[in-house]
Formats: sequence, structure tokens, C-alpha cells
Amino acid sequence: MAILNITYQGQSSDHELELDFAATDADIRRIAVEVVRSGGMRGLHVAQLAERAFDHFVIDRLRGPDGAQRIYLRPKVPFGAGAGLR
Amino acid sequence: MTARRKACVEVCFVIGRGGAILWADASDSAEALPDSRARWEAIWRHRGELEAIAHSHPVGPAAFSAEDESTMQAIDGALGRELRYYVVAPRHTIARTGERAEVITPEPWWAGRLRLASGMVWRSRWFVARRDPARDATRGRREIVPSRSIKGD
Repeated sequence: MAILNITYQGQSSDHELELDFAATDADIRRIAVEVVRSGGMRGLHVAQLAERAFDHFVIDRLRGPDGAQRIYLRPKVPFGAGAGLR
Repeated sequence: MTARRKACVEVCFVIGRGGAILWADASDSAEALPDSRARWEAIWRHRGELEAIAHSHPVGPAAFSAEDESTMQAIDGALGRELRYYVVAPRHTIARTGERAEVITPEPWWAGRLRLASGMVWRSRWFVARRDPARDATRGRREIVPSRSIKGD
């Protein structure tokens, strides 16, 4: 059991899910898309959310103070001139 | 690695209303500012007053990189609105909101601070430090003189 936190479209909410830290990043992104599509994210329901909506999001796996597994899906925030021009 | 690259680092400013600098962090590289949960937490924490995110390209170019583009897309998606983004290069500052990019003149007040923090003031648009060995020997300082002829970015 883990808590998945998704931040999207100005909302951030938690969902208890039957998964753990062993879940792959790809699995977590796929689950997050389903959660948002199904309206499981408080204040946000996007039935037609793109399959790749979270491609540029990263996953942080952290333990809460109570030892609970918390998985955060958040946007990546690196910048850099070295990655090549558009 | 050139001396210039060694001396410079990429720096990120999170900018709020009135040009207030709400957060700043730096990398140890002139060409990359790695992902950072702390940076994202600062962006989210200040989302109510957030107006822009700026970062430096201390050795150029005055353009958004592929990494910049995908990061801007991800942040806008998470915040649910289009932020304004800036790249501060040695000679120019560019900005974009959505798809529209432009060279910013005059520059925001904090562009100079960003250049200073990035270690590129010595070759910035308006000033460059020129060593005069004789003068250094007698006065022990570097002279700052205007220079618009420097080619860069």
C-alpha cells in the first residue's frame, strides 16, 4: 500500500493505492493517467487526458514520518543549455 | 574544459510579483541545472504569487534548449497555467509565454543579479572587466569599463 500524490492543472491530491515503491515509473505514470481520467483526483476530471500527459513528470519515492510509502508525481524541473537547442 | 566554463554556473531564479526573487539555486555546471525536488517545492509553494522562472545560460546561447522546452511544458501542466520563462545569456535576455518568444529590452532588474550569480558579469552586455597590469600593480583593483563590442551569445 502506498499513497500516490499527483500534482496536475493546479491541483495536488493523494490517492491510496495497492502499489509500493517497487512499481516502475512507467506503471505509476500509467496509473496516474487512469486516476485523472476517472475523476479520482479531487477537483480535476479529464476524461480525455492524453496517454503521455505525464511523460515529462518525475517520480519521487519518499517515506512519511509514520513510515508510510509516499510516491509523488511532479513535473521535472531541470534546465540547461547543454541539452541542445530546440 | 575552458576557463570560462569553469568560472560559470547555471543559476535559477523563481520570480514573483514586482520582480521579487522568491527562490534561487545554482548548479555546479555552466551547461546544466539538474532536476531538483527542492526547486519544484519552491515553485509550488509560491504558486500564488509566481510570475516567472528565469535561468542563465552563462556561455550562451540566448535560446531555449530542448531540456528547457520539455521542463516548461511540464511545469505549465502541473500549475495549470502558462508561466513566463526567461533565459539570461551573456548579451541578451529572452522570454517566452506559451509559444511567443522575444528579446527583452530593457531587461528586468534581476537579470544583472542572475549574471553576477552565474559568474558572467565580466562579459555581460554593458560591462566587462579589463585587466590593466600596470594599474593593477599600483592600485590593486580591476577597472570596469563599458563594452558593447563584445561578441557573444
